Amino acid sequence: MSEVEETIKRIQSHKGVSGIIIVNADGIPIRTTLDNSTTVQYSGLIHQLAAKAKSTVRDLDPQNDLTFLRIRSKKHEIMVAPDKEYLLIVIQSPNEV
Amino acid sequence: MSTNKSKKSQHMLTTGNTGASTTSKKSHGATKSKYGASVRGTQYGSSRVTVLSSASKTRSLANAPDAGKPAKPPVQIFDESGNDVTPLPLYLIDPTLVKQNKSNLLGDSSGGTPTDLMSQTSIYNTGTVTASAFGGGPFTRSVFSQSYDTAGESMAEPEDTDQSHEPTSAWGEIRRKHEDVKEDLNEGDLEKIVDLQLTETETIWLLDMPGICVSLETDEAATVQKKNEAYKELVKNKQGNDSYAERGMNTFNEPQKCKLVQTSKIGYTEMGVNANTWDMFDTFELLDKANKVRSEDDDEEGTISRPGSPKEGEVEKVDEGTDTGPGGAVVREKSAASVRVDSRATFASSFAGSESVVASRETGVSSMPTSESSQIDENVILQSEKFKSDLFIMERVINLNTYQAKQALYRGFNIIKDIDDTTVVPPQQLVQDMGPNFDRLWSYTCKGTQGRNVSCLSWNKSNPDLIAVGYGQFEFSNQKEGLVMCWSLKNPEFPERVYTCKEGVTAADFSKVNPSLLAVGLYDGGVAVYNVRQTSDEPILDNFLAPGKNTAPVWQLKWIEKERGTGDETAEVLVSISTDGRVCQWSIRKGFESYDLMRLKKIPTRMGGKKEKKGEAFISRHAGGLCFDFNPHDSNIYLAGTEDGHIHKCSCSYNEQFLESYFGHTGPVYKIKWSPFAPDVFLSCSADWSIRLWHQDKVRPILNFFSSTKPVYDIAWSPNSSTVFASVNEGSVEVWDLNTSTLDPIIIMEPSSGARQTSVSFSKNSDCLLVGDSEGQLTVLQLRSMAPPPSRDKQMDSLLKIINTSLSSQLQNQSASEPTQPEREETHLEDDLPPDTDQNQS
Repeated sequence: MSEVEETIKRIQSHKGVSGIIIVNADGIPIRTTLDNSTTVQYSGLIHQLAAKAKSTVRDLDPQNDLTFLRIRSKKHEIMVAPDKEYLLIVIQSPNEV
Repeated sequence: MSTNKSKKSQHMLTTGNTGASTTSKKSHGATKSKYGASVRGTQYGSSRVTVLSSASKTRSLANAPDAGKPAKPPVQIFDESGNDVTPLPLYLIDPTLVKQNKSNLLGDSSGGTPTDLMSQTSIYNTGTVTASAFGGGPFTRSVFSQSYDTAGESMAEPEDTDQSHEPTSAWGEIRRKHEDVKEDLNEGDLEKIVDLQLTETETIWLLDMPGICVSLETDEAATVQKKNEAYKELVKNKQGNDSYAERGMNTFNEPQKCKLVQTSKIGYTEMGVNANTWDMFDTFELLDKANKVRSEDDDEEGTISRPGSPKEGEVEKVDEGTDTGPGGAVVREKSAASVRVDSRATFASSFAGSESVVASRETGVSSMPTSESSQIDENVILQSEKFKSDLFIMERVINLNTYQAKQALYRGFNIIKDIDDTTVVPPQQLVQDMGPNFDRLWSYTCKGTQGRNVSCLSWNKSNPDLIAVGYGQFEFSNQKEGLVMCWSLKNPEFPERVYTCKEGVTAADFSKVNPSLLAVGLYDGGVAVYNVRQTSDEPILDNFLAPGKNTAPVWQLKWIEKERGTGDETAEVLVSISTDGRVCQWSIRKGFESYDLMRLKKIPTRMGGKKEKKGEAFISRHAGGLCFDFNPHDSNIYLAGTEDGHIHKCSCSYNEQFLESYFGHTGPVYKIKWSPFAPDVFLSCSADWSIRLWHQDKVRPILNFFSSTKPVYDIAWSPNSSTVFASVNEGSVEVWDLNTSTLDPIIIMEPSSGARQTSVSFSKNSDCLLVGDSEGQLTVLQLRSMAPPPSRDKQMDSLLKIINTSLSSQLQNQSASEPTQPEREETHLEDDLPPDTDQNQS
């Protein structure tokens, strides 16, 4: 358990990482380092997007499954690890020095 | 409301007396019949109790006259003895009611009466139904038939009225009973729920004249035809005939009553579901798995090839990528799915728990939490294995983002500039102009390594991205707890594994045969073996208590594959050397068994010339060993370097004597390395500030390298080029290329941190150098603009060529300076050695 906590801490303190959000299957954020409104926004939107992406992947080949999703934008990169029970979202700005 | 009693079924006596009474009645009957209503009663059953409905007691008389019911008061039957034996009718009709009815009947000559009666009958009939509770059974009476057949019983009013008396009494009784029952009802009963049984009454036939079909050929045909024609005549004559009057009738329109019922609101919800292709696939999978698990429960091991469901038959049975457990089922096309289930089942370690198997499909290991996590329990999520692995991947990804450029360089890729990178990069001077140089990529360091000395490095033999680093102080004075960390290329921020040891770590090596075994040597002489697959901090084996343990720091450890003398299998043993002068071989077959390969003995060396050492007394006969290296071509031969500066060539077969000794170093020899390309050449470095290149056959070094005034801690041959090696001394990192120059290193790098560089190693899959220092930093440096290495077959030659040239130049020097001793260097004499100064190269 502490290993998990440590890893989360490390990720948080990594260079460029703006925030980490862990959402459960109902869309309720369990752990977040951003403010509430942003968190809620992210979790809602990302949830839908991840579901759509998963559906796409599986429609193309039902034996396949989505493991990781990265959205690269001008300002940030949003990395999503989806799962049936939770959603792990990390936002990083890799251009920072 | 008028409650008229109805004449009930009569006895069949009726018929008998009909003759007598009908005469009198006939007149009435005739009048009666005027009304067109002649009752033709079909009595069903007999003597039924009149059923009185509580709601309405409309009874219609319209009954077949019970001429068989004499004994109305006017008609009394007396027997011989004068008893009144007038039979009483069963039904007592209320005379008042009947009178009313009678007046209705007689007075109202409209067609209403019959209708009245009819309606009453109909009402009665409905009443019948409801009152069946009385147990009288449904009383069926025929309704008045509008038959033109007026023969038969007709109503007799007087009888009715008279009859009414008897029924009255009987009625009375019944009614009384009824009322008795009624009296029992009270307020509470009003609230009671009354069960009403609604049944269909028997069909009442108003007219049943089934048609008869007669074939033309029969005898009856003629009669039937005649009849038909007669009928037709009759019908024709009916029109305008006086004996026929048409009458129309209206029935009452019963008042309709609206009954409203209110129920509680029926809620509606709409549900819609979209079934995707994969939804269906998943469902099929689940079903199939449940089936297969159940079938496995019956059979012992899951090697059944059940014919898959049609859907599965179409789909390829490739595992999705989740772990395939150790279940060894037959991998055939049909049973491939059972393989998957096997692995799930064995993973979930229960054949009986089919639900857990099914549930674990999605999440792999954590089968139970899948079902429980419907509760919003964050701990469950956070603890699940899947989450851990997701975090792990996420961390790697983040690191990759940050270090992407450097890692690409490491791998030798070209960097593509990030398109969104808006920082302006100043034009860099061309790298090629600078000559061979280092590019510092990144360094492995974390909080736990601050201040620790990197003492040893070892690459994993199967995963070239994994390196084990041991942290421990060299000096006796500064001992700390030791650490072994396994770093991966993909995560420069945090090690993959951390193992703590109670003593400083001085040596480490990964095993070749079992790539996950890491042997660690400690400052107190102990050797521990860790399994890097586990993250626990415990070594799987250690020799802390073994009798053969080294009593001094283990300075070098190596896994050697030895050929067993007897058998042909190569077993891997661990060889350690330490300052107590022993080279030990450890086998890990059962526990740690040690076997002394060699006792390093001190050898007197005469420094010759100026100082004469005569048999000085030794404190200890053993020389502390600091390093060794096994010959890559012959695993029986190895070199050991001692604290005295001597290098001994030993064999595993002799543990008492050296095969050869090499003299040259004047200080403890820290590292010896055989050249990976030339089988007879090795390199050594020592605290006497020098690095020496030796040939196996020559007692004296062939080449000496002096580049600094600091002890050289570590050397490493380049795996790519036979003439390149790296060395690390206290203050700098140097790379030498013998092709270019034997005097100076081609690259010297002095790190700005000021820490002493203590270990160096070339990376196998990249042209990078890893340098560890005394501050706990492990830096990755990329070599750039190096001279291209000679081609593979030329490697050895190029090195040997250099050696030969230097040898020949040595010889020349020798011959030039001391012509009296021309061949001295060539011999293997152990005494009377020429002074070291002759070894300096031009």
